[in-house]
Amino acid sequence: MDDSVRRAARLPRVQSDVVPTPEELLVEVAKGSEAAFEQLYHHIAGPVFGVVRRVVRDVAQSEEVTQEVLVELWRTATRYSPELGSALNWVLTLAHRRAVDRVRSAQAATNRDERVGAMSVETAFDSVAEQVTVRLEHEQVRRCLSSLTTLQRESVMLAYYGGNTYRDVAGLLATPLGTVKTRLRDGLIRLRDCLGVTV
Amino acid sequence: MSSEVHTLTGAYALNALDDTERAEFERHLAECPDCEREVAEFRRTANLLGAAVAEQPSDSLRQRVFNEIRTTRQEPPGRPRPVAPRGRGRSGGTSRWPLALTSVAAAVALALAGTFGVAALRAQHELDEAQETLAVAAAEYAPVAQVLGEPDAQSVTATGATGGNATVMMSRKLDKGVFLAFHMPTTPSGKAYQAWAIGAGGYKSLGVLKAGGTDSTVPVIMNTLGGTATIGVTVEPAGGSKQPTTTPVMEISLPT
Repeated sequence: MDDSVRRAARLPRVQSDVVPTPEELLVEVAKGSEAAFEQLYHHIAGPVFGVVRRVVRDVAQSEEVTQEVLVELWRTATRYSPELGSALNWVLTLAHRRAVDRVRSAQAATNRDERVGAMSVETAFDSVAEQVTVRLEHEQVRRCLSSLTTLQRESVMLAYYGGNTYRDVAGLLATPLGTVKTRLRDGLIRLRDCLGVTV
Repeated sequence: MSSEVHTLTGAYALNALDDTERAEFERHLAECPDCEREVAEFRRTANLLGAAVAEQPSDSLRQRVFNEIRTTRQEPPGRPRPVAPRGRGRSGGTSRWPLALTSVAAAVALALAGTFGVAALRAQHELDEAQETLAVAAAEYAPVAQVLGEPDAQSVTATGATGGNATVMMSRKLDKGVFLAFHMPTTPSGKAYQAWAIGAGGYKSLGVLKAGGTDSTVPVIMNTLGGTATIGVTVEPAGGSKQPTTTPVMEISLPT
């Protein structure tokens, strides 16, 4: 099938009143369309910046990391395929990883033990929880998070939103490593089921 | 599958493992489809936590992003990857690693799959692609096959301090090894990565790393391992240095 036939066959799906999905936009981005990237930007810039900001905290640095992530999305759009999940899932996986990379490399420069030791459990968790709960816009996520046990919730939030290693989480919560490991997994299983996530 | 390792799916999906544990877990992941599915589900779950805290960045960021993409070349289409790839940080640098062939990664993956029975390549098209590539690359990568053909062949991986990862395939019996780095961040202009074999007797340069296939380096063949305990990678002036002048960005401990 040549391109014109392919396009004709697809016509019913690309009527002007049909808004393309982020996934369709990403496919266009992979072909070099800046216009598609512009539309995609509206869908993803907020979530990407939100995730990065929770982990990195500093606004200027968060914008730097967000820029890196979005440019990387542009550069590597050809790697995306629908079996990797939604476009948002793909880019947020990248965003969280880059945000964590940023804070870890900054931490490597300072004394890690000092940093963790200096922060009390309450301060660490409260600051993460406070930042996050005022921001949690999705009722379902809020409800599912509150269905976790306290230790599960604290562990997941400190790891995901705080960008901490599970070792740091164990230190912060004064809980054995093995316990934190299983709480992270149990917490995610409960969240997954509550949010109805399937692959 | 040990349940001990399996419990790390949660921490892994949340990027809460340190580099060493991450590399270990990724080895396990390659052999554990159940873990892989669980990790994918956990990632989606975590991303819902992320999407719920969306926050609009400033308009000036939007402008900077668009300015940068206008001067950023996109990767050509290739084989999709199962997880978000490690990037090279800020793009647009002068010494970006060329992108093109999938040869080395495919050849190595195929060789590993054959030798270790690892289901590294699941889809038939990936195998076909790798086999074609391997035929072309066979002569060039004969030392890889030689190492992997040894019964005591083993591979070790590590993640770099600034990103990227590396694999050493080695045989103590044959006293040979192959070193390969992937997805290394772009070096600053005029700089290059240089690999070193480090042992009790000091260090020996393995040469400046050259960009090979997609996002990987040309394999460095070590014709003798000798007393090498660690392979380190440092950032050096483009032509290489006589001795390491910076802190290693990557270190791989070799099993004895």
